[in-house]
Amino acid sequence: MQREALKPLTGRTVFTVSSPPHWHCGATIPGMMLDILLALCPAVVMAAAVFGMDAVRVMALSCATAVVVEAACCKAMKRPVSVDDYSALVTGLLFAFLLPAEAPWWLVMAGSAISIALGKMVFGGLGGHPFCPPLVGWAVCRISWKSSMDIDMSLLNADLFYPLTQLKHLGLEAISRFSYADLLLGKQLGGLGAAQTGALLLGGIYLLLRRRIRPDIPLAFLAGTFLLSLAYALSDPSFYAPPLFHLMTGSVVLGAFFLATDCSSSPMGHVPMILFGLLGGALTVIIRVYGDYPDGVPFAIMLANLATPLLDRIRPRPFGGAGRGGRAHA
Amino acid sequence: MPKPSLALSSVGPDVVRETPVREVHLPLDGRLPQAACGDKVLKGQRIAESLAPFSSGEGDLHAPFSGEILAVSSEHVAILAGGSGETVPPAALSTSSGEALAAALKRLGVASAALRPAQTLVVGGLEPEPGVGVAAKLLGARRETLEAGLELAVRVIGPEKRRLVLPHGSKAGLPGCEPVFAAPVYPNGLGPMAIRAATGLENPADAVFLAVHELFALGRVAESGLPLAETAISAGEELFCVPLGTPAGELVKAAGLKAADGDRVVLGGPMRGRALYGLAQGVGPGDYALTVIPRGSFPRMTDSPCLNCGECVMVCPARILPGMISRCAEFKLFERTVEYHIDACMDCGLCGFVCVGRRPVLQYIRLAKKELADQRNAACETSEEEASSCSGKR
Ligand code: SF4
Ligand code: SF4
Repeated sequence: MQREALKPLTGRTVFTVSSPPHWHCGATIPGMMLDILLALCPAVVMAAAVFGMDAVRVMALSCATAVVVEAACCKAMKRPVSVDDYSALVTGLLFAFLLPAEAPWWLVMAGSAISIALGKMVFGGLGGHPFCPPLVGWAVCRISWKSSMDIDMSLLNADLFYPLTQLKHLGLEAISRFSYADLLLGKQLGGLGAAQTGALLLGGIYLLLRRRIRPDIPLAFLAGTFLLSLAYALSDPSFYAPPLFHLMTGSVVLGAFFLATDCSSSPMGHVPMILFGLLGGALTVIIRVYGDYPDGVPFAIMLANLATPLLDRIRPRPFGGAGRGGRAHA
Repeated sequence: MPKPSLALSSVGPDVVRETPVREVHLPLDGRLPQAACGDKVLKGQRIAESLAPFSSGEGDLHAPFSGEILAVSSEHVAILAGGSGETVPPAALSTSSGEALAAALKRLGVASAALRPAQTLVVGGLEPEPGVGVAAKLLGARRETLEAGLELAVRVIGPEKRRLVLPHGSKAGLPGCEPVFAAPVYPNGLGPMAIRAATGLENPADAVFLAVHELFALGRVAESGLPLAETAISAGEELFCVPLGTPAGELVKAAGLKAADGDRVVLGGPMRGRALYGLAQGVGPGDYALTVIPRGSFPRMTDSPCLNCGECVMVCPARILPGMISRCAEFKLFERTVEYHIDACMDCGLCGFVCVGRRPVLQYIRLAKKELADQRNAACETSEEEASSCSGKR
């Protein structure tokens, strides 16, 4: 990647001159995005295995649209084309993960384009967006073309069921057909990638081990979902679903590891990150219990995104108490 | 290259090597030259005068040996060794103390913001930066010089308490200094961190910090009575004691390093050092390391926007928002960086080290600090002018 330095005719050695620090930890945006794509691979494979070519079609179309739209936006904004950082690919794939495998081509393209253009580029590109971009595309599609976004649409083509609508419309007995093992292996309907709970968990753990994401947000998100659904389940076990059911259905795992952790729309610092995760997790359960939407995750994360600037205000005192001498933190 | 380690450790035996040179290039760094091309100078003769205030830690510059001035430019003064080896008469330092001694030391080329009266003196025995081996080797091999320097420092500072911050398990010691142990990890060797380790307080007004290599410079002056003529500088795995102005190329050669096209030759450590543009550039007072970084070792710096990922926030020892400050500086909103507590920054460079966007975060922060300082100076000057014009009218 190093550009060739211009050699002076005198043959003198030419050094690189730049500002410190001269060392770097090695983490770069393309490196991070490639790792996220790698972490999503198991879910891609599982989605293809469960939903077949339909899923492959949606994922490919969504990724391609995202890349083309980002390149077009960069051109229109007269900026260097930034698609070589793979972030558009990640956004496109994550958006596809939220769609039913049956989604029509126009829906995929429209949603993916909206994710990039409205979700990311209008805010100045990577780093500026206040919401996780694929969720913006999802929300617009979900509100505009409700029936095409309906997960249960896939019922016609698959012998699987969407656990969350089963729970919402048919009650607790209806979900007894799902074993936890089935849910983990993705034998459920849902967003085509979001339903691959086990594969996504694997990817999430990979990202944690590679230190691409910090554990604060995913663990707090899972904990928020678990604790609040546990509280409901304890209050009336005959009416509310058990917490593990909530964790393994819909987009909870996808949300915890891949959507809520979006750099730009999540807060910084341990305490804000943990509060953010808990908030997102708890909102998920609240929307599922009281809301119209069977899967609360996308809206829960977007609402938590709204709280990010507020949470970011929680800061420790700077070193030396902003210029005055002070007691050190133990 | 894998992620470099931030551990502070000195490798190799505790020896200090001397490297003789015949030609030196003394970096002026804004000092006013006091010699002209062709002048004959004695060892210890003043070559340039520091115009900076005392707190800047910059002293005058002197000839490290007798010889002839080869060249004077806006950046450096070159001296070729020659002549009898005669010196200027040594200064009598044994009688003075306090501020008078501090002023005398500035004229002898050893100035430091730490040379002021204070209750606690904290001596930094941790290596200042990773990949640098200066403190442990000086403590092991040059104890008498350090003791002489300490004695001088104590006479200026008059501390009630003396602390020596050491890596866990170190057996080193200095007279009258109570050892304090700290984890040998960057940035624990920097002044504010060492003072906190020693006193439990953050930026207390009555504590000052002197690193071991600064003590060594004081010690050399105390021993000889002559102006500062050399610096202890680590290169590769060795520690050298070289005349001020020794060209970087001589050190690269002596340490068995290689500097090729596209490499970075850095005066200082890898986190805070200054990249050189040529091997003829000489070392100055206070330079404690020479680091060569091969080309292509690390991802190239970019002008990527801040991702808001918060990695810099997590590592910042000053507990501020380096990413946000760098954004403000990027858009010239320098006043706003004050609200984000830019004054707490201790210039460690960790924010730039971890930045995923590979942004020049530290450079932005330094730019903002410089702009703010310029603004404050300008404000001072205008208010002084107003004050004097007012009094003139009266
Ligand atoms: S250089 Fe960066 S990481 Fe270090 S104290 Fe300053 S802002 Fe924080
Ligand atoms: S590490 Fe870099 S990209 Fe991340 S918040 Fe800090 S400055 Fe921004």
